[in-house]
Amino acid sequence: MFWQQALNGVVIGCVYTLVALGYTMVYGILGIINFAQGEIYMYGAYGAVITLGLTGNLTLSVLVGISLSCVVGVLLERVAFKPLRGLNPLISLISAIGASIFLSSSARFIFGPDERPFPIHFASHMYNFLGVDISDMQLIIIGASLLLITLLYVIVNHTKNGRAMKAVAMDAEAAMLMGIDVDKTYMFTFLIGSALSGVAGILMAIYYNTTYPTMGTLPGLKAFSAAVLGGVGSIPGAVVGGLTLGVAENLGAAYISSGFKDAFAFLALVLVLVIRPSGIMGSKR
Amino acid sequence: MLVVSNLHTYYGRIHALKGISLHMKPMEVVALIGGNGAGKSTVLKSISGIVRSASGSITLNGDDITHVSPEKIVMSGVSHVPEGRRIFPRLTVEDNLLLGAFTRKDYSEIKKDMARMQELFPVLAKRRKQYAGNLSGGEQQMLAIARGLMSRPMLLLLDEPTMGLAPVVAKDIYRQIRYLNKERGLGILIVEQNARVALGLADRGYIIETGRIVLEGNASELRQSNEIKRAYLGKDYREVWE
Ligand SMILES: Nc1ncnc2c1ncn2[C@@H]1O[C@H](COP(=O)(O)OP(=O)(O)O)[C@@H](O)[C@H]1O
Ligand SMILES: [Mg+2]
Repeated sequence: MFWQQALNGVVIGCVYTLVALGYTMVYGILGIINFAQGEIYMYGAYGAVITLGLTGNLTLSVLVGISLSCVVGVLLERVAFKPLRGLNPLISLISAIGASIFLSSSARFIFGPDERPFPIHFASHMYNFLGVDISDMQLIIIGASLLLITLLYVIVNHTKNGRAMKAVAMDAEAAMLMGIDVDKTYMFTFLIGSALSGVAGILMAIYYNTTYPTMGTLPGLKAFSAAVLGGVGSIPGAVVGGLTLGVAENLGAAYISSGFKDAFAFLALVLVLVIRPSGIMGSKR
Repeated sequence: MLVVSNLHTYYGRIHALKGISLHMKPMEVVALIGGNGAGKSTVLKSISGIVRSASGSITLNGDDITHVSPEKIVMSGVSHVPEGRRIFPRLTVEDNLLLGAFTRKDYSEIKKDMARMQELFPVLAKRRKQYAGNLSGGEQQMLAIARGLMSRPMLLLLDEPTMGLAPVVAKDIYRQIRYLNKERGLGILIVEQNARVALGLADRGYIIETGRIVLEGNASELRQSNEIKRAYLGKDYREVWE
C-alpha cells in the first residue's frame, strides 16, 4: 500500500513538476509570478481534446494542444506583463490573477461549462513491478516528464539561448550590452514554460478522462506551491518540490484522510517554509 | 568615427544630459571626466542604446545609431564595459566570454578569440571553469573587458574600469587598455572620475558637469589647465602614467 501510494504520488508529482517548471522559469527570469500557469495548462488540454474530436489524430491533437498553450502563454506575456515591466512586481501579480480569471471565464464561454471526456479510450494495461501496480498511462506520464525535464536541462545548460536566459536572469541590462534581445528571451521563457504546462494539461486530461474550464486552478496552485517548496527560481527545486508535493498528498490521503487530500499539499508547503523559508533548493538571499 | 551631437537624455523628469556633443576619431583614446552624478555613465548608456535619448543624434561612421537597438549597436562594432563590471556571477568565466560573443556566428573564430583573451589576461585562463562571482575585483574587471572584446569591437566604451581597485591592479588594467589601443587599434572612450589618471592615458578629454560639457581639449592642454588642476587633480598632482 505504501509503495503503491508513493508511486501514484510520483505520477501526479510529475505533472505538478511540469507546471512548476513554468512558474519557476518565469519567476527566475522575469521576477514575476504568472498565476495563469494553470489556465495555460487547461487550454492545452482543450486544444488537444477538441482537435482529437474533430480529426481523430492523436499526434496532431497533442501538437495543437501544446501550440495553443504556447500561443496563450506568449499573448499573456505581451498583454498582461510586458506593459507593466519596470513597475512594482505587485502590479504584475494582480495582472496575473486577473489574466487567470479572464482565461478560465473565456474558456467557459468558448468551450462551455460542461466536462468533456477524452475522445479516445486508452486501453489500460497494468504492469506489476515488485508488488506495485503501474498502468501504461502512468508510465507514459513518468516517461514524458523525464524526457521533458532532461530536454529543459539541456536547453538551459548547453545552448546559446539557455546561456542568454541565465544572463538575463542575473542582469538584464548587462545582457543587453552583450547584444541579447531581452524581449525575445522573455518570450522564449514563456514559450517553454507554456509548452510544459500544455503537455501536463493534456496528460491529465487523458489520465482523469475529463476536461473542464477550471481544471487548471487546483493543479496551478499546487504547482505554484511546489515551485515555492523547492525554491522558486530553481529548476531542480521545481522537480524536487513537485515530486515531494505529489507524494505527500497521496500518502496523506491514504494514511490520514482522503477528504483532506488537497490540504496536505499546502500543509507540506507551510511546514517546509517554516523550516527553510527559501525553499528546499532555494538560495538563501 | 563617433559623433554625438546635442544629446538630451532624461530619466523620468531628471534631465541627465543637457545637450552633450563629442566626437572621436578612429583609434583615438578619449577621456570623459567628471564628478559623481555628472552624467558620464548616461553618455555611454545613450551610445550603447540601453538608455533612450530624447533628442540629439549619435552617428557611427556616418550611420545614425541614435534609436538603434543595443544588439544592433554591438553588431556595428561598439562594446560597452559597464560601471561596476556587471559580470554574470553565477556563470563560469568561459560562459561570460561566450556571452560577449553572443551576436557572432563564426564559431571557430569565437573559439580562437577565447584563447586570445586568455593570453591577453592570463588570470582568466587559470580560472576559466570557475564562477565569475568568485574572482577578485581586478580579475572581474579583466573579465569584463575581455567579455567586451569578444564582440570584436572597433570602439570600446569603458566606464570607470579601475573603480575600487588597488593601485597596482589599476596600473595593470591601464597597461592593458594602452596595449589594446596601440597594438590592436581599438578606439576607446573611457569614463573616469580621476582626471590625472585619465589624462595620462588619453589623447583628448572632455570635462562634464551636471549634464554639460564644460571643457574639452588635448590631454596635454587639459593637464595644464588651472581649472582642472584645482577641480580634479588635487594639490599633490604628479605625472604618474607615462
Ligand atoms: N536609472 C536612473 N534613474 C533615475 N535617475 C538616474 C538613473 N541613472 C542615473 N540617474 C541620474 O542621472 C544623473 C547622471 O547619472 P550618471 O550618468 O550615472 O552619472 P555619473 O556616471 O557621471 O556618475 C544623476 O543625477 C543620477 O542621479
Ligand atoms: Mg557613472
